[in-house]
Amino acid sequence: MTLGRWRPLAVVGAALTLMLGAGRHLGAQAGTITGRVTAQGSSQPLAESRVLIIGTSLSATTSDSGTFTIRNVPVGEAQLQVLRVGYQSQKRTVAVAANASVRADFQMAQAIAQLEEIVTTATGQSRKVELGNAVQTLGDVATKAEQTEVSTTADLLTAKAPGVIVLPGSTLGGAPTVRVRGVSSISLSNDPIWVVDGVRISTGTVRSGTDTPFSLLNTLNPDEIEDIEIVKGPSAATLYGTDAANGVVVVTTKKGRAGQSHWSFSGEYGNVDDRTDYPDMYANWGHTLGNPSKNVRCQIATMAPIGTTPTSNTQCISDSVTHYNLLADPTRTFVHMGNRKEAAAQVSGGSEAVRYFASGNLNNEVGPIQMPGFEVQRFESQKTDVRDEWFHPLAQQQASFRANLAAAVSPKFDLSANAGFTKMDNRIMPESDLIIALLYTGLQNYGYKGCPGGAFPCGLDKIPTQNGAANGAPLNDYLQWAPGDIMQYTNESDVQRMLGSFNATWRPLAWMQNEGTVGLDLATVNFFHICRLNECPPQSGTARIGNVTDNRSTNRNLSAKVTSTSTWNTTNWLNFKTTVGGDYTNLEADFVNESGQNLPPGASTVGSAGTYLSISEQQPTATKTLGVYAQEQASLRDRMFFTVAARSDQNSAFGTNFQRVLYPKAGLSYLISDESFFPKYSWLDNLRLRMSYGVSGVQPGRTQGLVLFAPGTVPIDTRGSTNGSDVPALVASNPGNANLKPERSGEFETGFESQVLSSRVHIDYTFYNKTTHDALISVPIAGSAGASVLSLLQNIGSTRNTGHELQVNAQLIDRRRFGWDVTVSASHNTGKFLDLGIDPATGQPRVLGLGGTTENRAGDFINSQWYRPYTYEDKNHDGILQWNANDALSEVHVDSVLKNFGVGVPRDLFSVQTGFDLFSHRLRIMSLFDYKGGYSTQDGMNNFQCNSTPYSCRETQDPTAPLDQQARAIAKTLGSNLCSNAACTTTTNYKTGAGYFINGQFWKWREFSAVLTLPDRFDRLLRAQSGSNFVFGARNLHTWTSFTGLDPEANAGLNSNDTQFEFQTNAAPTYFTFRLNLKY
Amino acid sequence: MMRDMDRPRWVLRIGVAAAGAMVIAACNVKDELLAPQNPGLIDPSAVTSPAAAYALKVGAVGKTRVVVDGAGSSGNCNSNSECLWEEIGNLTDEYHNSDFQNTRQDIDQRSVSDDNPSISYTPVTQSRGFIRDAIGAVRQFIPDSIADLGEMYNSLGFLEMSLAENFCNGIPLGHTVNGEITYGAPLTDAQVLDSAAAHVDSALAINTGSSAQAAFIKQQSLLLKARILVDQGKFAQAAALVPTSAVPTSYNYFFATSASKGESFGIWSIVNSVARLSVSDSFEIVNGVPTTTKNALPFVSAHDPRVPTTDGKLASPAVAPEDATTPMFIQNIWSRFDPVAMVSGIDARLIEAEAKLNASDIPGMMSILNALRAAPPKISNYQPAAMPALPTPTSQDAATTLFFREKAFWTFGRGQRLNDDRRQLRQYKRTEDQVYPTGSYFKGGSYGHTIQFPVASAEKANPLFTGCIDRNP
Repeated sequence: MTLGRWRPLAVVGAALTLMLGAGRHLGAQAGTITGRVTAQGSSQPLAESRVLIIGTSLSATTSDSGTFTIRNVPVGEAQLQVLRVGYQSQKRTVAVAANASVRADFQMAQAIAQLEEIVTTATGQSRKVELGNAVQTLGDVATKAEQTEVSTTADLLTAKAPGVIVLPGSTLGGAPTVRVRGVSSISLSNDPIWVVDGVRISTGTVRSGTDTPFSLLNTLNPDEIEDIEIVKGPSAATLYGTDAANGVVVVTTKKGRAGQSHWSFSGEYGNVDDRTDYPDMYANWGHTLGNPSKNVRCQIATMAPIGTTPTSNTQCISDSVTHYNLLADPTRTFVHMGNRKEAAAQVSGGSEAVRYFASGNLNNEVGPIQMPGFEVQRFESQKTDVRDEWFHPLAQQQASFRANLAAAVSPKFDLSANAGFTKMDNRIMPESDLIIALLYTGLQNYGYKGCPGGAFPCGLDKIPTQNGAANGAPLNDYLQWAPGDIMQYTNESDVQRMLGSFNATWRPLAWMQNEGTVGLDLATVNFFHICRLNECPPQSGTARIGNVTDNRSTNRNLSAKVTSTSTWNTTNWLNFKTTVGGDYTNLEADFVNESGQNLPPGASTVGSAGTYLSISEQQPTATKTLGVYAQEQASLRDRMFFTVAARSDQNSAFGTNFQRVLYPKAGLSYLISDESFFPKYSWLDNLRLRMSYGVSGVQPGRTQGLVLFAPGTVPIDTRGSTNGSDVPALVASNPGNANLKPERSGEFETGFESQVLSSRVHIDYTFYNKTTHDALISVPIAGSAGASVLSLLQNIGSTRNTGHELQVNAQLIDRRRFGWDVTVSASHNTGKFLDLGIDPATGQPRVLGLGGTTENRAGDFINSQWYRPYTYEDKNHDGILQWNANDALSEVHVDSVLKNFGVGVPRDLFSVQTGFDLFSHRLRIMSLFDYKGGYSTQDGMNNFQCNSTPYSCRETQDPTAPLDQQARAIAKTLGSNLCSNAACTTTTNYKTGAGYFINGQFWKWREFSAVLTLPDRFDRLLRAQSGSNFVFGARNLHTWTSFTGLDPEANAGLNSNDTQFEFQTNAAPTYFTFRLNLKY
Repeated sequence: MMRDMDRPRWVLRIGVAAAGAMVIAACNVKDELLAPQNPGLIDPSAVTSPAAAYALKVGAVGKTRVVVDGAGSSGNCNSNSECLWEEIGNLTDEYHNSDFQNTRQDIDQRSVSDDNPSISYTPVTQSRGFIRDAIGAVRQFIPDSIADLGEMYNSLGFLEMSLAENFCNGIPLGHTVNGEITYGAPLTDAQVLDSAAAHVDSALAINTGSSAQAAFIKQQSLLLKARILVDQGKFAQAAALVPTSAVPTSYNYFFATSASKGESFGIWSIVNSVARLSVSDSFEIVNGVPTTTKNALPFVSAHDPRVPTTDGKLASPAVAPEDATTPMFIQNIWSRFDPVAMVSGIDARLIEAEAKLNASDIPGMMSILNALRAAPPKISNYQPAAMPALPTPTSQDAATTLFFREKAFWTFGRGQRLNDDRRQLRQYKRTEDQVYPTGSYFKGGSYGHTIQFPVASAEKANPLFTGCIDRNP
């Protein structure tokens, strides 16, 4: 290692030192303001209130007893403002004398609407009123995590913020997808970036061994989070720089507060229930005229036995229909109730000089899948112990620890250190498009159980044992593979993450605050797959000879940042605030993957494998960004705020011909209702108008700008008679692009916030218009060009996302004994291509993906899905759609021309959260309902089940199936024979999956909770403080939808076109949990 | 109101501090703070030596394997899916589809649209580029490696011949030099064959050495050139290139597999391991009733020593079809790590036999065919048992049928069957329903009319390409 590796740190450190050193030994005459903040009426102290001096960087947070102290306050008049969630803000002017202390106490009136007034921005904490852009704060996350059924950080975000789509990972541990204000890029990530305590963290996916990836995001423990803010677009995210155009999620972990130590303990237990309404499989039994004594299964579309063409002899005469639901059969199913357990402890406290917060959390979740009893018996009869990972193949265990320390080293200097560690272990059964997917082999059966009896013999087309072998494991009505063997296929991932940061704040003068943050996100991931010798289903010739895969990767993110903010009060009515700063991020990753085969009995390491299958590695590859920025804000009478700013970035992923990018921004916030000229209405309490414009970017991949070659080996023995010797080889792997630059997204947004009806209702509306230029598009390269890649990233397009966002918080009733509040969020997004450039060869507008399912062209929605449409008509009115090789006689007709069927990402979001406070607020009942619409999604289950052997889904077997469902199966499986040429001398068979790309809109009863504040006598019995509570929580209680698949949210991860990937994927389970929170 | 009388001095100090920070930050920024840190990556500066040129040659020759084996390749021919040769067998009568993917069943059913994602066009045509790049590097850094150059020109010729033999008229041949793409206009199969022939001629012209390797590569060139000449209907010229003295029957240019890396041979992987293809037959048992497939050869029921098969249920361990339904028969020519011949001495004898056929020398043809049957050469590592001589056909038509039947058994699975079917239409004036599997398809419906693969719709990224020129044989 050379000094060069540490030079980035040295540079940032030097800059910080210079800035800090510049102010040493300097000071001015100053005084101190102390006070106490209490609740009006009860005089209860209000801890966690923010007291700040307007026009300066000085502020304080109240302690447990509600007291605060602000030192180093310049002599003169100081305008104080107190802000706290749930209370109306107050302002007061006090006179500060040199070397003297002045007292200012506040009694705060409750605000009906519970709103966050302080937000974290790229330049530090700021009052929300000063911002020209919308910032979504979740607010009081600690309470939400404590009082609702929240397992992951994504659960906190789901249906909470307009414009923010959270698609939960539907399998336990599955990676959630977060989209802010739609999709703007078809080639780069549309994920927002995440910043925790000032540190850019990795939120990428972790390999699970199946289509469902796990997520590093899931290592963030909701119990440790104080607040989450969502910076939605470039207008707000400009100063976060390159990569922030998709939004920024800013997470702040809990901090200690001055006062006595507060302990809290919680324990949670609950059920994890798969309440999916799995469909029955069907068999249409009949006989043929040619062989009336033989029983066959018929397909209704051709009225011929499955797998045959109808002729006079094979015309199928249907006799009866059977159906069977293996997953609902308690003697067969692997669906069993899972459970979730959690225990947590937290302590916080300290003095004004030193504050601390520490927490520990252990949780264990077993998914709703369990080895069926008959398989346990089979293994036991073979003297094989059933391992826990076989018995419960879907499980997660997580341990999190955090310690945050803050010290006021001097009145002018604060230092804080935050450190968190998480260890997360996941395992998942084979699922999705694996041939041995558990859900596939269990869900898709032959439409009957065992032997139907009577005229129907066993094993008509049914293989009773694995591979049909006499000594094969009995299938017990599963399709191909014994579930016990599938559950031996073990995939485990282990993530260990250390996240830490140091923050120093120095206020040499009342008008200056300097801040420096340096932090590291270190995540190591180990993925492990094992099928020991003679374990797992025999789905291939090498499946049972023993296979092991061991992948290890590390993500290291270094973040360093310095800012200096100066304020200047020119007059009583005009203040300026200037911020200059710079930051540096280094996102680094490496991995080693290896796998082996041919394991001796009991062995489970690659080193013990007889055949060393593969090894691949990536040495540390980094994306580095160095940015500097400046911001100037002018405040007029503390009611009108102008902001202008600019940031310039250099980035290692830019092409060599592109050096620097500039991102400007400007914003205006105007508390117009405070103006004297503004008309006064009794129903209107305040009105703030805001607008802003900003530019941000998304960087290309780490090495996409470089010309590269890839190493490998090729077995060369062209004359040999056995096999080849591996010879080192090179091939070109990337042609590079020296002109590569970031996508630049410019966004204009405007809106208003208002409180009406005696502050009972808060309304927040935003309109945005985001235009992305230099959109990075993977331009396809035809194979015949012989290029080393089949697409090349180029800055050629532009997209536009427009939308509306509305959030209304209303406290409809607020009595001493009863309260009722409602929060409604709604948003609509439209994302279209403006331009894809001109194809230089044709001179025509470029079309991407022409002829494919995902086709992009100017004027269309981004990632439009194209299918051949089809029509159907029950011409003979017999209730059955019949296919005919002659299209004129067929009752289903598929067009040959593709048409646009819309997009796969929800465009309309709506949620309603309502809560009732009963029994003098001792019991709170809350429900959250979540709507997503304006999109279509794949019914992957039926798309597959209806169009592959044994063709036993209802729409191919049951003559009473709805016509539209019969039609889509015919259109997909049999299609239409249409003329291929003008003379119609030949025909082409056109098929379509359009019938399975269907409206995905749904309403989901997302959350329910009942929080009972423990009676005082219980508190005394438990020696706990008041505020301890008992919570019943539930998640994903019910879904209302016309979607025909398992669940419109069932999702193994996104396709490259940002549509959901559902293919035999479990829907998210339903959680019912009980939690006891005790406070000491 | 607050003011600080020291403000100008502070502003100056902060300005100096900020400027200093900027100076430090700007120092070696590109080299240190922002330089891409990719120690494991190989950039062009490392590919400027004889050793690198040879490594590029090895990589390029390795890419030629994409016709049969996806190990190390990308696209729709990857390590666990069908490549061109397997799909050729599926489109003709060598294999039945035994998985549940519609796109692959469409190939089996001869109903292939150009947007069928399983078509292995792209990896085959793309591989030409790697070879062109390697030829350039070898010419620059090791120009004396004439056998290597000859081998690469052969690879280029082989890939273009494969395109011409199996895809419709309308195949573009573009190229990319230093990242600059030049697309080609669609060419007829005949034009693509001309290009293939020119590359093989280049190999013959360059590879004039006397080493064993040079001689070995020259034999590869002769075989490839002869096959191209057969495709062009120049049977006598073809046969003249590959007499036994030039190419012995035992000759093989193999695609190898890596046992040390567990790279299962493609055909074994798809048929014997994951069971997505089953060796097919001239009839299928549907609901207990035999249903014949017109024109399909009985690769299973003939029990021919050249195509040994085993019922999957009787195999050890048993092999079940992926779709759990199709009767499963595995092939026993190639085991897991066996190599497969790109070109072989058997091909040479068959070229000679076909020349006899076209010269109406039926006894001459039978002499060659029966000699092969009497003393069968190894197919890869598999040694077929000797077979009795066949009676001499009494008509040219019968002789043609017999020849292609014999060739089908000798070249089973090696990507020649589709071209032979096409040639029967083009050169022997037979009709589609006399050659291709026709009639009822065993999984439902009827066979379609696909007689060669369409160029995949992915090629439409080439603005000069709009689709097949025609679907003529």
